[in-house]
Amino acid sequence: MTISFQKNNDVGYLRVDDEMTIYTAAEQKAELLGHLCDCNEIELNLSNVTEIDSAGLQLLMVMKSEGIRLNHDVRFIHHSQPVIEIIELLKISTQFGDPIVIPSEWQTT
Amino acid sequence: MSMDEAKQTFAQESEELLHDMEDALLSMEESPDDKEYLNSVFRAMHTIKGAAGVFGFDHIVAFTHPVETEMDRIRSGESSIDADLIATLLDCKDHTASLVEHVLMSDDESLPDDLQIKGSELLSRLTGTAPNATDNNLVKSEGNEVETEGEAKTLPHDNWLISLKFKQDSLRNGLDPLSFIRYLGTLGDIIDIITLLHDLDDISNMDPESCYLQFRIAFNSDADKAAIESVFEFAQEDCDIRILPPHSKQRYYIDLMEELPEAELHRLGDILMQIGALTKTELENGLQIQSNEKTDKTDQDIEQKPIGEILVEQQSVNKALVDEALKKQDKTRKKVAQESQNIRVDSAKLGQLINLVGELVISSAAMRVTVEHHGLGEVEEVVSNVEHLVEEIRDNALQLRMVQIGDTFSRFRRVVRDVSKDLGKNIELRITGGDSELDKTIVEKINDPLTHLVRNCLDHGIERPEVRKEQGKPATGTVNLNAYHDSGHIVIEIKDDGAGLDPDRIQAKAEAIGLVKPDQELSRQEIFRLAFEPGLSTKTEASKLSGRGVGMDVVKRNIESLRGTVELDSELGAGTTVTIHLPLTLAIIDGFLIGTKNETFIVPLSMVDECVEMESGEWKLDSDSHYINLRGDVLPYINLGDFFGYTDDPSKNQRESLVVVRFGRNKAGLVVDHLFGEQQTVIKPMGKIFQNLKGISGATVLGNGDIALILDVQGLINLANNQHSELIRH
Amino acid sequence: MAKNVLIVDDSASIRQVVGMALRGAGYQVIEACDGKDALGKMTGDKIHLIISDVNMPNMDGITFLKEVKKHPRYKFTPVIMLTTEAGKDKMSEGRTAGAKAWVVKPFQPPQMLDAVSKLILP
Repeated sequence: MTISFQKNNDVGYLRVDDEMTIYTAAEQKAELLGHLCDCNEIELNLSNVTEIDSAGLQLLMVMKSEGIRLNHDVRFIHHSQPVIEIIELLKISTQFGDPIVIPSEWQTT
Repeated sequence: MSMDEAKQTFAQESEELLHDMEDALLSMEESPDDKEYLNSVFRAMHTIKGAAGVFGFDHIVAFTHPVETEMDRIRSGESSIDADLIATLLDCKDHTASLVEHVLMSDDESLPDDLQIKGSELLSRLTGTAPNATDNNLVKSEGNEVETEGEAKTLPHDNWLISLKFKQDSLRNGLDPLSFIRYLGTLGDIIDIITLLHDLDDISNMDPESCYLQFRIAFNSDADKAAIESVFEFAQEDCDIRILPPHSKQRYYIDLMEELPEAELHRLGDILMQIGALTKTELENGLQIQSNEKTDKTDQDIEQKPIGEILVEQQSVNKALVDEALKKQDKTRKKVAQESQNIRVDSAKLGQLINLVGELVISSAAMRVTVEHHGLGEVEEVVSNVEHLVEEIRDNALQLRMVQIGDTFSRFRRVVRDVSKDLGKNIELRITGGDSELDKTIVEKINDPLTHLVRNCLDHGIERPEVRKEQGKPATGTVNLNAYHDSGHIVIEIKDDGAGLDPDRIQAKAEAIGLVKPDQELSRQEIFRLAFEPGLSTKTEASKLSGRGVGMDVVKRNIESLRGTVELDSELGAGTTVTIHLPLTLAIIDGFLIGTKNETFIVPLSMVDECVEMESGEWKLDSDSHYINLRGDVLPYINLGDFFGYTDDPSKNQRESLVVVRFGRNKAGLVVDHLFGEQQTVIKPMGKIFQNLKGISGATVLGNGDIALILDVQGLINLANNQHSELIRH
Repeated sequence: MAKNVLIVDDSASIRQVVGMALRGAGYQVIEACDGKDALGKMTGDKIHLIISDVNMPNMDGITFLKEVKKHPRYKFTPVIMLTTEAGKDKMSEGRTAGAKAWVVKPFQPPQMLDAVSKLILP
């Protein structure tokens, strides 16, 4: 499984260790949304997302809006470079509302 | 997330930002040097401005932009903060809140006066400039514009608005919306994007491989609309694409539109495309929608939706621009209408043009010959094009000389009215086919013969009312003038319902003056033909009007000099019909090139009925009785070679062909050696010394420089008929 | 990470010209001379874009496209089909099979680079 999950005090800690693309979206949707229902709070670690496309972006957006609908807190942390790139491209950081830390060693593209 | 929801998000976001701004401003009163508060104010204005831009809330952009600029100047130390400024900024914050509230609550795009005035006051307080200057600036902003010329490009709201709504299959088709947006970024600056998910009510039904993405992009670029559209060229099938140009561009479009020449009337879509406001794809889509709507509606009477309305609905162009284009169209229409009145041209100039076109036709044929002679295959296409154009020029040039015959006909109304009064007859003139066109020269020359014929009807044809009543006819007689086109000719009919002609009397008269032998058997048609012979009048006493039949032979000669014919048919007691056949033009015709022995001849193509090969077995020549048996029909014929007296070629085994020519109701066969095909023919009149030549009506120059004689088909038919009937009689 | 572009065309010169243009722009290029050859090369690395001719020996472009659309690892790969003015009747068949991007031959390398960039930037 490319998504790891831990639950601690009703907070779900998720980490995606794979690309988030149309090839992986079907599998990831089931898993991510499944945990979202189970936990009042979700923290999704995106540090190992090697690649992300529109399908992956949709999943992130859906998680946020599901979170709002269920009144569960959904946070994305440790965004990987590909994730930050599309967040910047689409200027959706305010929409997502998570603080983004850009490590200084990343080369600018 | 729908657009309305997104607007709600914008409202919430603004409220939070403005709240932060207020807090920061209040804190600044206590610690004016804290940069963090300043940043917070700046960020609030900046973010609201950016988001408002994406939604197209221009009033908010117009107001927050100068505030942001001012904050930037304070941050950089160009201006300083004092209590007044903080008070002003607090008012600015309140004003922004009112603006946000206004745009969300009201669909009305324009700003109420109080908000407008308040805004300009605040800005002038903020920037310290005289209220007037800013005021003007904002008053000018009626059309949602605040930019001044020089600034136009840098203003943040002067952006393209691109909305993209991807269809579900696009990801599966390998089209990643993000790729297009990345590529868009290479053409300019993406100022802001709103990313939304559409058609996704229930997340459990979401297919992760389907695309639900929808974008609204504020894009700053100098690229034109077509270039921006081409970014999404591959996505066209999988995405609803709408591209609205920036406001400064709108003005630019309007300027371009004003510069468009008004000489020609264009369709709305074409105008918008010409100035670049609309792309070809958008127009095609719009037209498609228009025609779909039309077929959807069962009631045909419902008016089609104007294309302008559809384009606005499709958000391909904005309404102001369509209105402007409609105005332009209207203006052009008026202008064109004014100019579309006739231009008077010296007819000599027109004649010169026709002559030149004639030369052009010959040269074009010469070019064709040369090309074929040298086997220049690669210029074939060019030559064909030129030929095609020459043909069109020819038709158009000839068309210039064409006039409707109606005017000529109408003149007879007066004649009929006056004459019938003089003669004490009741006569009505009926005109039909007045819109038939023919060459101006012919119209001019046909006027006299026509007058003769009409007067004949009035004088000799129509009886007095009392006579008519006796015969059971309506007291009022009728003269019909009719014109119509028939195979390259115009046919003019003059018909009355009068006394008609008595064939016996005509024959008797003809015998009396020695025109025909006594007891010669004549067909009805032949007898009536005699009416056109000189010296023949059936009226025993002459009238002051039409004389004693003088004129019928003149009429015939006049008409024949125009390469036309005249026929007469009559029924005693029922009326007379005179039928005139005239060529439409005198200058250039479509000819059919034939050859016999070593000579080439032209037959006017319109007179060729058919061509039959000798071997076909469909026709048999009976040289003794001078007729041809064509599929069982008897056809008089002329062997062209014999007729023109060419000596027989020793290699007489030529394959002969038969060209069936027709003139009016008469047909005849021409036996020839070669059929060469169609040929544009410029008629060169023959000199006076050739005037009495039989069977020839003119000459023309062929492409290879040779001369070809133009056959006088009508004359030949008559000759063939005579030969044939004489033989039968003997 | 450079993006991999697979170019499938039986003309070696076209492969070379396109390959040169794309490599120059920063793509990695894999070449194949027909559909069969291409499928054989679609084993290891991710392929971000396929450029394929329609008329090819062994396996033509449309068949190849249909195979790609069945391939679990590559079925969502964007495909640019190369066609000629005369071969446009193949377009509707190709479109139904899922090819949305078409470039008409002859094309200049910058044109191809443009088309590729619209689908994936290097």
